[in-house]
Amino acid sequence: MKIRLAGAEVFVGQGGVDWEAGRRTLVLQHGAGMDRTVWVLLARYFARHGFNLVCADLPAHGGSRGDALTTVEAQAAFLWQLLDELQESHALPSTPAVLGGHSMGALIAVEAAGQQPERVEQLLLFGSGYPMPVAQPLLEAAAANEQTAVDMIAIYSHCLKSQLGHNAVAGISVQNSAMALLERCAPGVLHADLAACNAYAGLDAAAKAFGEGKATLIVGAEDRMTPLKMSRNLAGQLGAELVVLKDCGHMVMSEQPEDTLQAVRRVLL
Amino acid sequence: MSGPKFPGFDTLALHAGQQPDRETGARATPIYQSTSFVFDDSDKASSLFDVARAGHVYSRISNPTVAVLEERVAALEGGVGAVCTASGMAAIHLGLTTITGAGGHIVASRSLYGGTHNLLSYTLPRFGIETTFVDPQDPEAFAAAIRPETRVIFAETVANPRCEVLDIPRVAAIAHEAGLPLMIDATLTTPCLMQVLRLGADIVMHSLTKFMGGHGVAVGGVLVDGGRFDWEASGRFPELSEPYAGFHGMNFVEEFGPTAYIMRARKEGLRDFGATLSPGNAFHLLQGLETLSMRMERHVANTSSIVQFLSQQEAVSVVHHPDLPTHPDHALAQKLLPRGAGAVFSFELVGGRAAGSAFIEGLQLFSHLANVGDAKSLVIHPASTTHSRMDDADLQAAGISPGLVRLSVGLENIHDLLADLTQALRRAARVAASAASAVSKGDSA
Ligand SMILES: Cc1ncc(COP(=O)(O)O)c(C=O)c1O
Repeated sequence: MKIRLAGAEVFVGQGGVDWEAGRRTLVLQHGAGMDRTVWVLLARYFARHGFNLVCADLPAHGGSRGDALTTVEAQAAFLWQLLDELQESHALPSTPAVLGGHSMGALIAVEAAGQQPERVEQLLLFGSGYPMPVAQPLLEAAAANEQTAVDMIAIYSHCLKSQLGHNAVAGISVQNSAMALLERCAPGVLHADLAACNAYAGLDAAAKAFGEGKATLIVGAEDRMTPLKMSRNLAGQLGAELVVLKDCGHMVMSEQPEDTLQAVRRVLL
Repeated sequence: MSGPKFPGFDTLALHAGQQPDRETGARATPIYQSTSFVFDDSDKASSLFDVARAGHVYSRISNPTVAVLEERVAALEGGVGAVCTASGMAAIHLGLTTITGAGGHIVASRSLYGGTHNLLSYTLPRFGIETTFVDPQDPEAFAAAIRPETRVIFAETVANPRCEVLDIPRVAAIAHEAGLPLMIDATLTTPCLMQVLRLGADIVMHSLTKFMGGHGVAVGGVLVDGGRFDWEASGRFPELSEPYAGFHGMNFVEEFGPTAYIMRARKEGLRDFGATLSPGNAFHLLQGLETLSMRMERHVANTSSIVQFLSQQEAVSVVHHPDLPTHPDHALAQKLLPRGAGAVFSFELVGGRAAGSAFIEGLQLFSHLANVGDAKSLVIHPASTTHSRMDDADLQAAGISPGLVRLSVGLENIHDLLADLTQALRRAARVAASAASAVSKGDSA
C-alpha cells in the first residue's frame, strides 16, 4: 500500500495479506539500492504464517518518493516514524515487532532497535556485517552514477554458483534481477546508501542499548560484500546466533531461498 | 581499470541455469520427464500455490529441465527471467497477450516471418487485437502509427528474407517516449550476434527451433524479460500494476518489481494457454545451445563466403545481405551487428520463377524445406511456401519477388557448399537462357 509520510509517498509491502489484530509484526528492511521486492518469498510466506508484514521502500527507493536519506541513523528514525504512522492510522497493532533487514537494512534494524529497544521483540538480520566499509572504487563509481557500480555490486553480491544460476524460482536470473533493481535507482541514490553504510559508526552503542541474545544473523559463506569476518563481529556485538549458508553470497534471500526460509522458520515459528 | 568480470558468454552457454545434480552428481542436465512434483508436506504445497516458496508443482507451469533452459537463455540475453514455450509462435503469442487484450493495438514491422504475419493480420483481430504494419527501415513510421490503445511495438532484428536491419536503439527510444515496451523477435541473430536488451529493447523472444537449438530436432520457443521497463509509470498496463483476480488479487509490479512481466506470463499465459515446452525438447535444445557461439561463427563465415560468391555471378541479379555495401542497411549492420548479420538471406535469379525452381531442384547439399537455422544448409522459395498466405500486395510490401530464393547457410565445408551452388546456378542459367531465347524468337516471329 501507499501512504503519505512527511509529505512524500511511501510504499509499504504487506506480503499480499492485509494486517490483522492479534498477529506479530515482522518488519523487513531492504538494503542499499534495492527495494521491498527482495523479500517477496519470505514476506508472502510469513504473511500467511501469523505475521503482519511491513516491507517498506526507503525514500527514493522502489515505490517511495522523496530524497534518499544519507545516514543509517536517519533511516532508522524514518522507520520509527513510519511505524508510528502505520500503528496510529493504518491498523498495524502496536505490539513489539521483529525487526529484520538485509545488508544496510540490517544496520538500520540494529540502529532502530538501539533507538527504541522496548518496541523490538528481536532482530533478524541477513547478509550483513559490521563495520561495513565500502571499497573506494565502488563509492567513486556510485558517486559518478556509473554502470560499473551496479556491475561491481552484482558480481560481489553473488557467489559464482549463483552467478551461473540454478534458481529454485523457475526461469529467474537472480543476478540479472538484482542488476535491474539497482539500475532503477535515481542518480545519487546508490551512492547515498553506500556512503551511509561506509560511515555508520553507531552499532556498538545501539547493540548495547538493545541488549544481547535477541538476534539472529543469516549470512552466505561466500559473501564478498560483507565478508564473514565482519558478520562474526556483528554477531558478537549482539550476542546473536550466526547461521552460515553454503553456496551463498550476499543475496541470501534470492541465492538460497529455501535454506533462508528454513533458518527464519527456526527462529520465528 | 580492469574491474570485476561477469562470466563470459561461452561459459554461460555451457553452465547457466545448471549445477551438477545434487543427488546423483549428473553433469549433464537430466530430463525430468515428470508431469508433477511431490510436495514435502502440506505447508510446502500451500506455499507453492501462494508463491511464498520456490519449487515446481506441475510441468505445464514449470519443470526443472525446462527451467535450466529458461535461466540459460535469460543469462545469455542479460534478461531478468524467461519462460519457454512449445514453439516460437507460442512465445510471440504469450509475449503479446500478456500485455494486450481486446481493444488493444500493436505496431509491428511489416517485414515479419510469415507465421507472425498470420497471427497479427488474421488471428489476433478475431480476439479484438489490431495491428498496424509499418516499414521497419523507417523508425518514424513506428511513432506515427502509435495510438492511445497501443500496447507494444514488435519487430524482428534482421527480417527475412531481405535482411532489413532494425535500428533498435532508435525504435526503442520511440517506444519509450510513448510509454510502450519494444518486443523483438531475435530468432535469426541469437544473443550471440546481438543482445537486443542491451540495445534498449524490453522483451525478446526466440524460436529455439532455429539457431539456438541448431540441430533441427526440436521445436521450441522462449520469451525473455529485460526487467527494465517501468510498467507502473507507463500507466497502460493494469495487467501488471493492478490486482489480478485470476491469481489471488496479485499485483505483479508490487510483488515482483523487475520480474513482474515474466512472472505474469508464467502465472497467467503459460497456466491458461498451456503452450508449454516439453522437458525432452528442452534437453535437446540445451545440447545445441552449449555450442551456440562456435556454430554462429561458422554460420557467419560460410555466409560471408557465399554472399561474396553469389554477388559475382551473372546468373544472380541481386543479393540481399547487409554484408554488401549495396544493401540499404549495410552501415547500420556494421554498427549493431559487428559479429555478422546472420546466415539467412535471399537473392534473386535472372530468369525469375522458372530459374528459381530449376536452381532449387538442382541443389544437392542444400535441402529444400520450410525451416531456417539448421546446422545443415537449407533453401526455399518464399512466394510459394512460407509467405504463400500473403496476397500480392502484402508480398510486394514485404519485398518478396517471384524469383526470390532464400538460403539458410549451414555448417558444411564451404568448398562443398560453393560447388553445390555453382552447379545449380548453371542449371538455372540454362533455364533462363532458353526462356530468353524463346521470348526473343517469339519477338522475331
Ligand atoms: C523469425 C522467426 N520467428 C518465429 C518463428 C516461429 O517459430 P516456431 O516455428 O518455432 O514456432 C520462425 C519460424 O520459422 C521464424 O523464422
